[in-house]
Amino acid sequence: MTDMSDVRLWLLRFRAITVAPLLLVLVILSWGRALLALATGKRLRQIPVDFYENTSGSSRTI
Amino acid sequence: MKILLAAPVQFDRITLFISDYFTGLARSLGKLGHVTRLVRTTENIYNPFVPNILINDFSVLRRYLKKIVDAPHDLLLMKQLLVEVEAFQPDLLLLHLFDTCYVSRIIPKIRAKGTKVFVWLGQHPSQVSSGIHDLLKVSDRTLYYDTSYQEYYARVLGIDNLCVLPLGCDVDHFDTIAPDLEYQTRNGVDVCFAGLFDPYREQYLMALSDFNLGIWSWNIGDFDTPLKKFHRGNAYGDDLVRIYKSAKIVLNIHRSFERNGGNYRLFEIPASGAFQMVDDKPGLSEYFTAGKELVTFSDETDLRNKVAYFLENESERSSIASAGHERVRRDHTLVQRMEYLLRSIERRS
Repeated sequence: MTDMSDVRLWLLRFRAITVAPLLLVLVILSWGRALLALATGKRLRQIPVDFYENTSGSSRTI
Repeated sequence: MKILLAAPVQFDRITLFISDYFTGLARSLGKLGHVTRLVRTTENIYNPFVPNILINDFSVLRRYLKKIVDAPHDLLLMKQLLVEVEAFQPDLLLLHLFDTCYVSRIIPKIRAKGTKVFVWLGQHPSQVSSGIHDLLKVSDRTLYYDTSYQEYYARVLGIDNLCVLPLGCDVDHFDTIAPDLEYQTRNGVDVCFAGLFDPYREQYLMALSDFNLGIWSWNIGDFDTPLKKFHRGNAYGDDLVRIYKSAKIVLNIHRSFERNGGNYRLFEIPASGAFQMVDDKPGLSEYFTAGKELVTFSDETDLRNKVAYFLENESERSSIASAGHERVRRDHTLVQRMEYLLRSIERRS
C-alpha cells in the first residue's frame, strides 16, 4: 500500500520538474521583451488625466 | 508647475485602489492649474507573461533570484523614466512603485536635472522590498499616510526625508456614481466590508456572522473561514462606490500595522455618502469627529452592539453619513491634499 506522504512527495517532484522550465521560459521572455522595448525606444504609456472607467473585474488590492 | 506622475495605473490585474488614487491625484493637480502628465509604470510582480496558474511559482522564483528576474523590467523602466523626464522636463516627479530592485540608481540623475523626486508609499514600509527602501532613501521626499510609520522609517531604515500626506478622496467623482434600484436590491446588505481579508479583520467580521453581512474581497478564498458564505465577489473603483452606497453600514477595519489610522476607506466610505463604522485609532480625530461624522468601535462586542443599534436607528445613521460626506468634501479632497503638498515644497524652498 502506498504511503500518502510518498504520493505528496511524488506530486511535488512532478510539479517542480514541470514548472521549472516554464519559469525559465518566462524569464527569457521577460528579457526578450525588455531588450526589444529598449531597442525600439518604447515609451511609458500616457494615461489621460480624465481617465476613469468602470473597474469591475478580477483585480487585486492591497 | 510641471508635474509628472508615474505609477502602476492599470485597470486590469493591478491594484485598482492605486489606479483610482493616482488618477485622482493627477486630475486634482490639473484642477489646480498645473501642467500634469500621468504615465503608467510596469511592475514585475505583475509580469504580463505570467499566467495565473504560475503566479505563486513566479513569486517564489522572484524571492530567491530577484536581482536576475527583476533586471529586465527595471532596466526598461529606468530608461523609460529618464526618457519621460527628458521629454516633459517636470519640476516634480511623483513616483509610486510596488516593487523594484534597481530604479533607485537613476533617481540622482533625475534630481541632477532639477526635478524634485517624491516617492509615495501607500503601505507600511516593512511590507515592501529593500529596493523600494533604496528608492526612498535617494528621493527628495518620502510621502506616507500613517504617522505611526515614522518610527520604522527613522529607526529601522534611517530615512528622514519624510512628509505625511494623508489620503483623501475625489468626492466630485464619487457623487456622480449612483446605483440603480436593481443594483441596490441585488447588492444591498445591512453590513458591508470590502477589502483584503486577513485574520485580524476576520475576528471582527466573525462577530457579525448572524447579521446580514456582505464581504467583497479578492483573497478570502485563500482562508479556511466560515465567513466565505458571506462572500459576494470582488469590488473596485466605481463598483465599490455603488456597493458602499447600497449598504446600510459600511465597515472599515484597519490593517494591524496601521496603528494611527487613516486608510483609503476612511475617506472613501463617507465620500460615497455611506455610514461608516471604523475600528478606533488615535489618529482618526485629526480627520473626523467620532459619533458625529462616523462611529468607532473598540472591540468585537462594541461592534456588535453598535451595529445592532444603528440598524434600528435609520435617521441617526443617515445624519452621521451626511455629516461625514460634508466633512470629506470640506477637508479631505485630493485637491486639498495636493495643495498641501505643493505648499510644503514652497515652504522648504
